[in-house]
Amino acid sequence: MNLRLAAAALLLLLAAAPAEMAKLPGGTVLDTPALEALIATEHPVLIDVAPPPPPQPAGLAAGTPWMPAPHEDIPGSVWLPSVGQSTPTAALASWFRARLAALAGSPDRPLVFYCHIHCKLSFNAAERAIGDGYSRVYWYPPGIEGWTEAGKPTALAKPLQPADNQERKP
Amino acid sequence: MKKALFAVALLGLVTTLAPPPARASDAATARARRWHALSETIFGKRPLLDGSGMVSLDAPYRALDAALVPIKITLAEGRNVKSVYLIIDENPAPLAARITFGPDAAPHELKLRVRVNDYTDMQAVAETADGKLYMTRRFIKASGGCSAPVGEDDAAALAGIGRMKLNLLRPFTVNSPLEAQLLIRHPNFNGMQMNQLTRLYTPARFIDKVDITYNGSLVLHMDSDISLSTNPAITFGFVPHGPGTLEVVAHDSQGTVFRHGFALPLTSD
Repeated sequence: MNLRLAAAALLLLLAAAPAEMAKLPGGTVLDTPALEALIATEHPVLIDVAPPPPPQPAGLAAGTPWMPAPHEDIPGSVWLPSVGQSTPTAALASWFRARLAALAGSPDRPLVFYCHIHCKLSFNAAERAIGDGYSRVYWYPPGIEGWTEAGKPTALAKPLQPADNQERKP
Repeated sequence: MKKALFAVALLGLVTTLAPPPARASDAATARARRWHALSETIFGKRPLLDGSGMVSLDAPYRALDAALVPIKITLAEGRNVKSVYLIIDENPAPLAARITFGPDAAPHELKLRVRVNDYTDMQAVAETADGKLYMTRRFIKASGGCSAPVGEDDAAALAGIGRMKLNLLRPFTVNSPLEAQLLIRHPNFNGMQMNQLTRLYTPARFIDKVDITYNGSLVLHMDSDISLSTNPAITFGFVPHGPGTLEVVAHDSQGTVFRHGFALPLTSD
């Protein structure tokens, strides 16, 4: 009972701060201080679902530099590009499910989803995790821009994608 | 457990009350490193001089639509600028446009609409006839402009491709600078937009060259790429030395050429 009360207080605290009225049914919306607190105490799985590195377009003029900026995210994150798509293929959806199971280990491990600010992909991915029965799903809408702006450190990210990623075929 | 939760709550409270930290020097260092790499790729070892008083760059600090960010470059009059570079650091093809002016240009003001992929520095670099480079910088908050869908299905986006419209922003007067806005209907697909039905990337197809002449004399030449917004728009100035034809030749990355001639003064709008 006490635990429940404390948990409720925590949820209130976590949910109170975000300026935007973002909502995640069945999950919790985090702002930067709340995310920091969660990382410090609960070792959540941090899942970055920012879009994959861009494919080089055909037809760039010879003198045009093609230099995609390296993608940075919150240290300790796993970068799963594409899994937040609004209409994933069945193959991608099941790959995501397996990946999530391996990362979480148990259905009550806290999972934090984020991508870029104003990016719906993290909301989609969080919603899917809730649907798959994870009980502690968090969404961090400020994304990597909000994190960087708050002066927090970032680390170079490497995308983790299905070996046979149908999304990447031209 | 209760203790731990209390600690979380306390920590949350403390960080909430703490004053917001200054901009991460981390981020600033990363941006400086990025610009160093870019400027070396684009300009080699050529020195970039302070552009104050020579070139200025206006853009909304926080863009409403990252796929359509209005940019204005203003050049000091009478300084003999022969070309202008627009560089958007965080875009994958950062050199968004390079514009070279012809003898009949009045290159005081130039406006474009661009896509911005991320929070980014943006630079306008003016090159004078004697080969010196003058730079100005601006930081923009926008994100996701490169993967934003064009907003209609591919077939609809391609309908009427190459259609052009010219708006004169000042009355036509012989021998005095005339400001005009050119609109080109073109999806400017950048290869990063996913078709939501087929789940495939729409192949890149974008305007890569535009030549604008007046009565056969060059007003401006633009090299551009995937950073230009859908339906590229360019606002530029030139001096008409009499009635005549403004001819636009636009070329895209699939080799299609679009031409249009506008007889000036326009008889109707």
